[in-house]
Amino acid sequence: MNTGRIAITGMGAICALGNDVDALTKSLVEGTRGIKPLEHLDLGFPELHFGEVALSNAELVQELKALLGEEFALPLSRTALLALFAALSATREALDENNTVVISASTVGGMDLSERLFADWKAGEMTQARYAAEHPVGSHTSFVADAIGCKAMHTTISTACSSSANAMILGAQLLRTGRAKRVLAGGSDALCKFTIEGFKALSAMDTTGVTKPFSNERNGMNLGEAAAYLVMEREADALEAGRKPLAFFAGGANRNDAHHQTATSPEGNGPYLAMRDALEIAGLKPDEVDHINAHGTGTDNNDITELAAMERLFRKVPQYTTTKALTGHTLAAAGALEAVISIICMREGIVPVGHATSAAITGHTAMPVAQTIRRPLRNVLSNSFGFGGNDTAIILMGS
Amino acid sequence: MQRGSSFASMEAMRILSTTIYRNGRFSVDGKELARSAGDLDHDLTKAWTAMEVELPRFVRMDRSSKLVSIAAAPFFAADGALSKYPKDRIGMVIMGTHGSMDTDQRYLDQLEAENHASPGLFVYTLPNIAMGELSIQHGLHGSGLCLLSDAPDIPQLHDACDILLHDHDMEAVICGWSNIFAGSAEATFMVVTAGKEGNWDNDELERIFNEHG
Amino acid sequence: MSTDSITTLRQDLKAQIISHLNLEGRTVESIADDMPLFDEGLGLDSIDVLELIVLMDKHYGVRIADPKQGREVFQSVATMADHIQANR
Repeated sequence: MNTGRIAITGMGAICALGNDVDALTKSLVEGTRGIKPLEHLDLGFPELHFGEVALSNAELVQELKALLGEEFALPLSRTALLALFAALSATREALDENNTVVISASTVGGMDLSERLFADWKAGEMTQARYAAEHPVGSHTSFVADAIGCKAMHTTISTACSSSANAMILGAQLLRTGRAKRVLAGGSDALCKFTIEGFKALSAMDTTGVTKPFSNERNGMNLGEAAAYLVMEREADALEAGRKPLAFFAGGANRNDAHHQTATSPEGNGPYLAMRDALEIAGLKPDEVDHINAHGTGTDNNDITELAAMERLFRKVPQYTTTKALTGHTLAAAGALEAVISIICMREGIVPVGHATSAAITGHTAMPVAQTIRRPLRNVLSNSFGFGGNDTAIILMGS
Repeated sequence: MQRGSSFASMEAMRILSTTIYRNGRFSVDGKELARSAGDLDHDLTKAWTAMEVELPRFVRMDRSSKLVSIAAAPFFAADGALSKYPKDRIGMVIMGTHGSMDTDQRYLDQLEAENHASPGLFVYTLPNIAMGELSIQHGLHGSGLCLLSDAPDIPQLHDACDILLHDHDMEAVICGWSNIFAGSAEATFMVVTAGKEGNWDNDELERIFNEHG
Repeated sequence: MSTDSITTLRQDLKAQIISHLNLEGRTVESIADDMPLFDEGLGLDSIDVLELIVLMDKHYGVRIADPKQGREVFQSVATMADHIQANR
């Protein structure tokens, strides 16, 4: 039974480029860059640059109280606060709570809160022990489900940087197989010491300022934070309810690189398989791809292996860019955030520049776009590759 | 042609083999392979030794990866349930409550105590890293899903396996519950395939996955 | 530096590598001075390089700024000891 296309009928996002989709759109169109030293979060690291959301936790709480009312028990974790903010924005119109499934993703979960309370907990001072309930990665999903009045299934995916892309794939599958009528899919990750120290220890951070992906000068990534959610439903249901699709989720694939926990194989096997199979599922040939939103973290290993995979799959590599040079690497939220960005790009007819390089990585030919290009886009292939070799590619199509 | 455009629940699902690790006891399809009653690290080592697999990397893994490696090991034996399936058609869905919390704690302890982060520990502070270890060990390129849940959610596992088998083109799925918390570990793993003679029984599986004996 | 202290340094390094990298079951005796630490020898990988960089800094005050330089320095216990002596 053919269930038709999977439509995206709502989206919400908060990141370094803006607190909602309108602000994000404006930033992308105007070429605003969101990476700088921390201004709101008191985490230290003055020498590093980040894609920080321009709201403090107190400000997020204020905004959410206005939206949800005083009686709603808000979480303390920034991951959960960001998630609520973006999810409410995505579901502005009334949702069918009984039939909306929530699939969220995170790697940080409540760690931003736990690390602040950790010292007390270890010293045996358990006065704030109840906040330990916010620690598990899945707890933020419960807050989102409660806030939007969801009574259907909600679940959490955690597969590192491919998490929210996987959430969208699972959402599409549940819709296609009739197990859900509507899905809210996305993810959230907040900046915290735990993560920053970890990536520093892996020598993965850019120490020169802003990341320079896909160039010979690349030195590492900038971490970012964000939350992004998309409402997905079968096209026929959307049209029947008078909801116009913003875009379509044409398909996605997840494949394992099976090489190393943090480094991709030199031939880019996982990325290649994910992109190849995503295209096949979407019914697209490689030369029909208009634009690639690359994973492009700016690390030594990712960019060269992602490029190798693209050059294997495409006779002529399509235009590609990495928006991580604008928002930072938002970890579990990246898949969903970059899906939102891809939809904005199709809507506005732009391919934003990430980092303009004058030369391709030595030994390769394809370069990312060097300046913002205005052109109609029919589709975008978006990559999200996670630690543990968990590689995902999804395809968005214009409406 | 678009794959996966039909309702997926037409075919039944068949469980080929089940392994259970609980309270230091490891068994496959009801047959005990190892039993130990020391601390968790000791017990995991005992169970792994019983697998007789040569893998220098095992001792370097975190507990979560060790548990998953043990739970899946019998499936990859010469006559194991997965021995005849192509490596790029074996999918995974692993579910647990605490994710990488055991390692998160060690990482934070070290960070506090020594004021620098251990890159080796940090790598393991993700729930899906155990799936990565399994993929590297056996060269598996299939599709993998890592889900978080307060308790084994059998209907969700059913749906996830169904989707992997019918929409993601996997021929077999390693479907498991794996959880480590406060020095104790439990895992229930299955090999699931599609087929005309299904034997997936939600009630039976609720019992198997939630047994604490 | 005397031969004795070179030997001690190398033995210390071996013990530290075993404990720092959690190489259960490995003994100091089983690591030859010029045994390759990566690939066929001890089987260490790129993340282990980063751990060894931390070890060098913490125990010997020798900093390695660029991880790429690490591969050369950490080829064997002998090259590690040489680097420490040259830079301490």
